[in-house]
Amino acid sequence: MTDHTATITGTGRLDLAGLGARFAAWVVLVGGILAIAGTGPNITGYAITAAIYVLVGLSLNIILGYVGQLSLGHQALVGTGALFAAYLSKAEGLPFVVDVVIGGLAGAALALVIGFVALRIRGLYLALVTLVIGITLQGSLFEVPALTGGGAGESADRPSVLLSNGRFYLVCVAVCVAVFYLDSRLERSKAGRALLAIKEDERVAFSFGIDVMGYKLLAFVLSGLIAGVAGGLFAFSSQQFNGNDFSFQLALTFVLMTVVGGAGSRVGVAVGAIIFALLHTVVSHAGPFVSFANLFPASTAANILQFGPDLIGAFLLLLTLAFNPGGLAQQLKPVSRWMAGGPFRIHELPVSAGARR
Amino acid sequence: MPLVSGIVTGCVYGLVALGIVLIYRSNRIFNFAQAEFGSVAAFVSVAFLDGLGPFPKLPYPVAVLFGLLAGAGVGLLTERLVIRPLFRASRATLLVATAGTALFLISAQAVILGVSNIHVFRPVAPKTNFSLFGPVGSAHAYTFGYTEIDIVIGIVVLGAVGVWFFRTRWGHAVFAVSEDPTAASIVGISTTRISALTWAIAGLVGAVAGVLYAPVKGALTPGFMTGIGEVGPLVFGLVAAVLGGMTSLPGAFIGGILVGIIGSFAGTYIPTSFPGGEQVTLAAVLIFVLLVRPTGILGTASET
Repeated sequence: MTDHTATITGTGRLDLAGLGARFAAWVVLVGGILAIAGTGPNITGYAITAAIYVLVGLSLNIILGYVGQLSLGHQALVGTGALFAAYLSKAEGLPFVVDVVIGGLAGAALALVIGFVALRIRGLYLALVTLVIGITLQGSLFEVPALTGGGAGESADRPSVLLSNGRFYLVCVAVCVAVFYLDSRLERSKAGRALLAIKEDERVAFSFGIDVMGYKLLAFVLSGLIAGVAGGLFAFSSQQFNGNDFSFQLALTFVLMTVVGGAGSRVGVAVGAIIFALLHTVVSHAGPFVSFANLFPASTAANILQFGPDLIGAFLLLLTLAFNPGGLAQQLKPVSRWMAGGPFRIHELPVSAGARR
Repeated sequence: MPLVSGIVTGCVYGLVALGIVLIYRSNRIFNFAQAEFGSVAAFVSVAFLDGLGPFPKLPYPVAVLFGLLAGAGVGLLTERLVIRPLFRASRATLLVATAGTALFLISAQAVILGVSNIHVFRPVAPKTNFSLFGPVGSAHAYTFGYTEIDIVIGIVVLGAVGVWFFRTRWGHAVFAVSEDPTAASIVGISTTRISALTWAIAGLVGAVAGVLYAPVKGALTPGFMTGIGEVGPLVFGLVAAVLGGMTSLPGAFIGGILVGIIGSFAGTYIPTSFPGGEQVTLAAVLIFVLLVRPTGILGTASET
């Protein structure tokens, strides 16, 4: 520990080279993210999806990483946000910001209901309940013609200012940054510490006077709020709501990206979300993969290009669980710590007591 | 007739639930890959039945046998490659791992088969092919076909698994390992071998479910047992297992038939203007059971 703090403050000297290098790294990172807005509509389109996935990942991270509960119905929260945003935009003609905010509130309301169930039902059974709730909403609410505009889906037109993908991307990034910041504040607040205590051991947390029920509900509501906002942005990014977009497979993808990224770590989850959002696009266009697929007959090659990325994603998950349980966050730790002003150290110092899983 | 069709699909759900309960009793996890053992078995059978690609065309029983062996093999591989390396991981991790396995198997099917080709598993016996009490078409003849065969096979499999589990040393060993792995290995039970055996049997049970469900389903798509974009036997099987109390083998099967009948009636009588009636009913049943009677119909001690 002393070693760590010593590097930040130095030994009284100002580490100008280190500061400069970190500043340069930040400029490259932020500049790179902003520069994407200037590229063509295709790339910004993918980048919008990636930003929305990051939001969903951060949302799921609150339940999975902080409370330690598995949600297999997160697509329903996202879908509810998208549904409300699209409906309010089309049928009521409310402005964009109001739609997305109400979409977020709708997600929060649904999450509150799931949270109440979660107070009674825990662990694997909760995972099952969220799974069934997700499938149920997809089959019922998302198929009500009055809300979804029938089979074609409810259209959600962007305001004229945001019509270009580049500008819409910047809005999504701004929301991501805001959520990222608020999430980091949450983790360091009383509520964040309470949630970690609850994750470790609910009974011990309760005996220390932590309001277990209240904080659990808070976590679910916050997660639902973020997921709902992500859903609202999703509706406006594809400019329509279609219930079929929110299938169980999407929920699995959300869990996969959070676990592969490293549940509990914002940076890891964000990187995992970006990877899974772009997996299909990148892999099915990547040269080596395409030439590998072309070794097979034409129809098989098409299948490989279409579904191979899913196979790779599932394989990544299994590899992560078996060999790298901390997820990508574990590998990114030296970089993210260095960027935050800490030392660059690949190997963790031996941690004393309490280091077991 | 919603009752009969409910019982037929209910048998399939019951078998899926049976596999889930087997794994739950040995590993204390929900196996989300359980239904996919069935998909794999069904597609392997179809490949041998129709002589797809490099597969030779084989007679019906042999093709189905290879399908069942494939299901058991996938169960065995899942245990060896996914579950055993995660022996010390938390249950939530294992749950994610089984879901990842399911996704892996579904994607593998999609890569190999594609989604545009339609594969059909022809039933062993079309209705009215067999009859009792007289020749087909005569007044007293009771013609039977897929429905009855389905139910009989379901009950036979349940009985076989029950006998294996409750009456053999292997079955007792499974229970011993799940209760206390350390103590079990001290008295000379090979925990790895027991775990492998349980997964192989669960794979076989899942394969039977897949082979029975495939003809009912008609056109087969990759992952049809899990249900992508619809509610498949996996979800019904999980609900059935919970309904049966998660630990009871007969409870799981009865739960499966109940879920099949409930779903069938809901699908028939809830008007189409109310979309997703079947799913809403299912969710209501699940949450009601979990909140009011978490031990299910035949479950014993409450375990969460």
